[in-house]
Amino acid sequence: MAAPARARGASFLEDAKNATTEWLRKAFELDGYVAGQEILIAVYLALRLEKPILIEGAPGVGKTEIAKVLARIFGTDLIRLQCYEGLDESKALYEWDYQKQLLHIQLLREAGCIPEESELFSEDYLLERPLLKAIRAERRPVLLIDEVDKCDPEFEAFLFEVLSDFTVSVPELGTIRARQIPIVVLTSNNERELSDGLRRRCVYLFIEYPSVEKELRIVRSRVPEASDKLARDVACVVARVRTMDLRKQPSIAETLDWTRALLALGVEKVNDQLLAETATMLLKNRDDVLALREAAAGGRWVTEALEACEPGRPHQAGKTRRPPRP
Amino acid sequence: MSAGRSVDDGGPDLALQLQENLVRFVHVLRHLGVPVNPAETVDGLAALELVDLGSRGEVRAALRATLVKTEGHAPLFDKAFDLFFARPEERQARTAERLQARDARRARLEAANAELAFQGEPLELTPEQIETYTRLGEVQQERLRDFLSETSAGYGVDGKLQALVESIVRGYLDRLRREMGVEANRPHARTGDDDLDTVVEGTVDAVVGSEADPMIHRDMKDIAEADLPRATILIRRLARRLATRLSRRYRETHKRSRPNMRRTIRSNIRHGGVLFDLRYRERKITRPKLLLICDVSGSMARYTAFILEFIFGLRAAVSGVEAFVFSEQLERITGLVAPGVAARAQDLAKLVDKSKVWGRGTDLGASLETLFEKHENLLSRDTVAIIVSDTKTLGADQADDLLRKMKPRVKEILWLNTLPREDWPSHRTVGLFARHSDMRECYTLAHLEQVIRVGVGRHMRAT
Repeated sequence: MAAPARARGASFLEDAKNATTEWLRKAFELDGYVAGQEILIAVYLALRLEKPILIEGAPGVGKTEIAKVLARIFGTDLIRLQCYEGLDESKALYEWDYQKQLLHIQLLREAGCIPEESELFSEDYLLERPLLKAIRAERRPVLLIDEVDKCDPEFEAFLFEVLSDFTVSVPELGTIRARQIPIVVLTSNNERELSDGLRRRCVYLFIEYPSVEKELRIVRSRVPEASDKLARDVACVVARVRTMDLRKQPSIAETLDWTRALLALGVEKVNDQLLAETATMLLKNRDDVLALREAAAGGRWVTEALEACEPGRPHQAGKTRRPPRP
Repeated sequence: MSAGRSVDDGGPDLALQLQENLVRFVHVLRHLGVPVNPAETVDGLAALELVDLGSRGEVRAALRATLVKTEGHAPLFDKAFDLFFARPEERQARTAERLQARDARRARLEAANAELAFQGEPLELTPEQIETYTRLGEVQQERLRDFLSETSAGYGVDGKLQALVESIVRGYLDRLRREMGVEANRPHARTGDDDLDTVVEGTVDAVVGSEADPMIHRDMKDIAEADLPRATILIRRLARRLATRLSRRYRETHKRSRPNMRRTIRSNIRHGGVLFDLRYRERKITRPKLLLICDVSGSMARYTAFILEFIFGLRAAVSGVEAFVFSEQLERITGLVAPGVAARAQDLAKLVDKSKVWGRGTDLGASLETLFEKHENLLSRDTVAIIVSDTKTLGADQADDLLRKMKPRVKEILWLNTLPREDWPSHRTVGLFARHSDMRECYTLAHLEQVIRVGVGRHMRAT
């Protein structure tokens, strides 16, 4: 994605704390991210109160994107820590470069010298991992801790400690204090309940699937080559697909993929047959695709979706049932 | 916000008022079961100082971001916000209306209490019991009054018998109350402030039973027929979420502590024996087998359907599910649920209907006897046995013996008890069976998820 806001970023960085909601709204817009008031206020508060922001929501609604947008509009580095089960301090904070140390010892030994311990545990052999990198950064970076629900509870406790005072002690080097508090963005898919302590420390934001109107704005902003008619059809049909009982609802990213696919096919108007043929762009699960094809087999599904579509009204998921399978 | 009103403009009075209002609002949220701690309240206040107080949307978003940290609480917050930050006239009108309704109810209850008298003395009943009485039909009310007047007038009857009569009437009304399903399952207590109580009650009234109602906390037997599809979808989501969580590959977290010397030496031979590339041990994943034994006697059927649905949703995470239902006898239903077919609560309910053993009395003893006789091969050390029952059964002592025998043969016996925990002490069988099993309260979907997550999840981590 293009980054039109990048150029204006640097001068504002010192003022990240002074950013207003209005400025944020414009910056997000320039960057192509369609954000409602909920999102803007939460981000604004996180910046002003210097607290981490915890973002939850279904996959693909733009949680991670917020961190990327923030890095772009403030013209700063994005440091990403991807969480997974088994992630530990040595992968998240720092590690000594064992291989390099070993080579150094070997070389010295061949030269007939005895290596000194302080030499081996100096910055040359320190492998900075994302958390330490964020703490030692020259400029206030954006630290993205992605899918924090996937890490183990023990690591979450450790993270909690780092996020509360941004101080790390490396026994061989001493205590390292952050020059400035990074802009921290945590995302979670809610696979595991996060601890109350972590929630308490954060500003909380839940991103829902967008309303038809908002999705329309997103499609227009991200796929400007699509005609108004096509964009509206897409938004309405996707909104109806989301009301079905599916394993995985189509995300915004998939809406955009589908729109681009329709454009590539040179289509101006969506119909049931087309929907059935391109369903794999929207849904990534065989059962879901079959269910959608079955629903669209009647030939009136898209028409009904367009008729029922009132822009501006948020769509309620899970209201209609999946038709029974044979 | 440069354009907005800031707290300082209004002088100390406005700031103070803002603080007080926020604290009162937090009080309301807590009574609605939304946990907000003092630190968050301070954050909320700091947030209010940063946004435009003239913009309702901004204030709402600011408080929501700082006070509510779980998506499930959002509907409660939204409704409470609307009611609390309403215009003063509206609030006063609502409070007055509520007080009026309360007085009317009190008068009604007093009148009813006067009707329920033994030898002229009103019986000592709880407001809930009296309310149940007011909800009865005319005929039932009259029958109760007749009972009282007849016993009052009986030969040789004096005031000493009042306690006995009272306990009969109480038991009768409590039973009716349960049958009517008017269990006011509302988590809040009174705040002691009429204004706040109005907001709390208004929020609860608006949210309970609506789309936004977290059905997950409702007693499963109270989930209405019309809500079944929604409940089924919810169960499937819970199960799927749990299954992906459980089946994810599990690796050793503290892997630094367990180097695998054999593999390390082998892979470092090419470095001339220098231990250059260290290898570590990884844990193996074991998936437990589930042995389900579900009580399907009369009152349990609804629970069983939900629980079966949930367990079958977990199939991806376990290596096999064996299912049995029992009432007077045991019946194996594993084969009836073909693998690969997504089971639904309704279908399972039908299945249970078809079962020969459905809806009779309960005899766990005889049923377990059958299990040992015919299916003893299913008991193994990697099997988690899950028994779903309210423990009300015949042959309790025989069942007790058999459970003792079963316990060392399986990995664990997990007992999902659909009785609320506060009722446990009044049932002897609960104590009896709890000695051999890990007994958990389980009558809402939330309980179910919690139990399975903790119970089955624990066994996923065995080395």
